[in-house]
Amino acid sequence: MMRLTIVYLLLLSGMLLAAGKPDVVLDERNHIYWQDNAESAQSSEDWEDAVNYCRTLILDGMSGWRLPTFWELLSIVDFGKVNPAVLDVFAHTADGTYWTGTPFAANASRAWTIDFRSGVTYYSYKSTNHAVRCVKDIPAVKTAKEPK
Amino acid sequence: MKRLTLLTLLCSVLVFGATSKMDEKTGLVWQDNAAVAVESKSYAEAKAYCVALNVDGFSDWRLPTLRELYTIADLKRDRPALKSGFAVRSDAWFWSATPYAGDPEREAWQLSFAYGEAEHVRMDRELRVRCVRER
Repeated sequence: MMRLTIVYLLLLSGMLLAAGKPDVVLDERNHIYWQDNAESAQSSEDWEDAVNYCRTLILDGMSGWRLPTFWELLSIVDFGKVNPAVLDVFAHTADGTYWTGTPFAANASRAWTIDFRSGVTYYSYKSTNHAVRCVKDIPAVKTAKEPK
Repeated sequence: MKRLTLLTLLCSVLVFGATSKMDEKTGLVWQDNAAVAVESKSYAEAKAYCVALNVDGFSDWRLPTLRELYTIADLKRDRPALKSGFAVRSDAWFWSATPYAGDPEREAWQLSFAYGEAEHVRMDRELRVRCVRER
C-alpha cells in the first residue's frame, strides 16, 4: 500500500511538472518557449554575457536557449499597461530594460533593447548591463508515417 | 542624391500612379504621397487629418497603432529604417494612435524611422503622419 502511494505520488508530480512547466511560458504564435522564473526578473548582464547566459541555461530540463529577437520581445509587450508593460501571463518581470539578440544596423557595438516599465525601444551599447529573458525554439513536430 | 530620390518618386508615380502602398502580409494600405514627408501635426490634428484624408480615391484612412506602424519598420536598414517599396522615405518621428498607458490623456507613442526606436511623447508635439486603411 505504502509503495503504491509513493509510486502514485511520483507519477502525479511528474505529470504536474510536465504539464505545468512552471518556469516556462508557451508561446504558440511565435512557436517558442519563454523563460519565466525568478532569474528572468533579476538578471543583469552585458550583451555578450546575456548571449552566453541563454546558451548555457537549463530550465525545466531543457537546454538550447537563446536571446529573443526584437520582434519576439516586442510581441510580449502590453502597451495597455505600465510597470510592467508585459502580458499578464508572465509572472517574473524586472522594472527595467531587456536585451534582444537583434543587432543595431547602424552600429555593431549596439543591440536592440525594450524597457518593460513602459515599452520604450532603444539601441543600447552592448557593454551596458540589462535584464535577460531567454527563449527556446519548439522543435517542429513531425507526424510519424506508418511503415509500408 | 536628392535629385535621384525625386526622380525615383516621379517615375513610380508615373508608372504606378499610386500614392499609397499595399502590404500583402498585413492587409494594410499605407499613405505614400509627398504629404507624408511634409505634414507636421499634433496628435489630435494627426487623427483628424487621417479621417479627412482622401488619397487614391479612398477616404477610410486612420492613424495607425504603434504595432501597425512597426509592421513597416525594417531594423536591418537605417535612415530610414523603413521597408522597401515605399516611395516617400522620411526618417522623422511619426505619430501612432496608441496612447501611453502611463499618461493616456497627455502622451502617445511615436516611432522614429531613423532607426526604428519608439518612445512616448506629449500629444501637443508636432510629428509626421502616415495614415493607414484596411484593404
